Amino acid sequence: MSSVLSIRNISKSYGPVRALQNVSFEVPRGSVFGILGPNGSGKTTLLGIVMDILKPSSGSYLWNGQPGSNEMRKQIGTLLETPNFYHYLSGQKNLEIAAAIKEKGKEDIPHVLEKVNLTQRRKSRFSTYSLGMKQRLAIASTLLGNPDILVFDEPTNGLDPAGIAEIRDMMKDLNRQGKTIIMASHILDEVEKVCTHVAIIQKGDLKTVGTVSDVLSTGGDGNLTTVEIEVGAEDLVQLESVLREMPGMLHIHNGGASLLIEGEKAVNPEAVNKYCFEKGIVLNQINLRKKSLERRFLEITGGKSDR
Amino acid sequence: MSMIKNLRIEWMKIKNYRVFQVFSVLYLLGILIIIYIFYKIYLSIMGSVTGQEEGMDFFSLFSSDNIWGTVCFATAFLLYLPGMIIINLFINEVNFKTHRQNIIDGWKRETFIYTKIGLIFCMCIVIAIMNVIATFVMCRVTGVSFSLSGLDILGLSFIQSFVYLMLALLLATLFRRSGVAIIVYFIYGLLLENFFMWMFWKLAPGLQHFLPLQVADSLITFPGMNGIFGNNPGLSIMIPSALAFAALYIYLAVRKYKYDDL
Repeated sequence: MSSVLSIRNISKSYGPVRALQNVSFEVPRGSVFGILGPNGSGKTTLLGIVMDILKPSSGSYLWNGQPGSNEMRKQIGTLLETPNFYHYLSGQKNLEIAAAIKEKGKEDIPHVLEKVNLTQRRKSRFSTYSLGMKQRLAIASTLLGNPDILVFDEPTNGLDPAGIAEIRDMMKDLNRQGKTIIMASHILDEVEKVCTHVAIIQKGDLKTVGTVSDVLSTGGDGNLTTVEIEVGAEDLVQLESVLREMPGMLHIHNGGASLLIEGEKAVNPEAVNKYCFEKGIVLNQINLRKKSLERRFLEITGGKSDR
Repeated sequence: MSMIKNLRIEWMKIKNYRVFQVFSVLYLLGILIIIYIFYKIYLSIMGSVTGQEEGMDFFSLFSSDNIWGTVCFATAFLLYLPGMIIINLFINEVNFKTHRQNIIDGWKRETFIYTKIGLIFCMCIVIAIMNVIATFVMCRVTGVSFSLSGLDILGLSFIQSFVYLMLALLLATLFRRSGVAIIVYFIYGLLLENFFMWMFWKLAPGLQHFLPLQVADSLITFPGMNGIFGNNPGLSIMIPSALAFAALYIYLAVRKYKYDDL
């Protein structure tokens, strides 16, 4: 899978404050790539650099293998940080300006307004829009010209639960159409539900990057860490004493109806089943517990805000 | 062609902006009003000297030879208004963050700032046209026959307007806050520069003509009179100097916009 965006050793400093430090990763084509980090971790700074509104202190980036350029940006739909529009103009007029800069025709405007449910308010001034409507107009603007790459920074900011669900569905739908979506967010649930890949940034450092499932099962250094499995048998006491002897076992918690075991990488469901069977125990339950992204995120970042 | 296309986009941005509409109308009407008021006060003063209700054009300020210079000199006092409009338009972009969005959507940073300079160029053309209209009106009022003999002064007025508005744009790029940029523009133009002129006039005579706005003001002197702080060195020096200042403002504004974080 070729890279849509290659970020190479990007650093950014504001005086003594280092906002980004040697961040490098690749965004595969066709992925929904989440950039995850606590508030103030450098997500927006990174997107600002690849959209040329911030200058990196060092490092470089490539879009589709080419250095960033204004012609490239015209082919990318981007919502960065906040919806940026002329407050005294209507939603429609604002989109006309965006379309003119992108050198796209006006014919897309009714369609994108319909897609974000703003057709009825298209002639209202932007300043009269609610926060959610402003966000939806910004998303409509990113869809002008049907770009293959979309960049969203906190796309569900200000949306109500129904709006959030709509935007998530829209992103999944766009991804199914083959579009690459790069999304910065601090909302773990959002990333977990939508993204195929994730990069976690903390205090400007890239902590981990990979597919969501890889990140869920590996540590920040890319090595597999621990595995959690729920197991059950007719005699839980005997099962617990047997499993305590199993190599790689770290922790066993007796939940009454089943055991929750935590072990090293080698302690996978197949190995546990085989080990128990060899010890004469037949398991009647074995489930690999999937860690939530929230838990992995907190493990990696230490659970602290970067502000 | 590309600049025309960009200016069309710029026009889409500002044509429905109420502040721009109101200030533009006030300014354009102001040009006509200020020259007419000046004319009436001038005649009144001349009248008081001669003991009549309304005096003669004793200094020939509104003669066919001088009327262009008088109109352009008097209307230049209003150049702070379009300067304010430029500051307001630029800082609106910063406040709304549309200066970033335009880049994100595909403009080069240079395109954004050059389009603003193009807008200033267009505004200077409008100002020049208004000076022609004001001259024509004053010719009708005074009974002087209208001729295009003062087109050279109109050219100087164009350069003067361009320097004023470019300085306004530069201040907007530097300060990024409407209030601060406008206050600096006014305080510098109306107070500080006069102080510097006096200071240079005393300490380094001749240099007083080469201050950021005075370099443009020196292009058009009041007909038949020298500047308060002495004669300027002549148009052969002042025109290139004013253009050099304008070029410096363009360079600094473009450089600031091209390399800074937005």
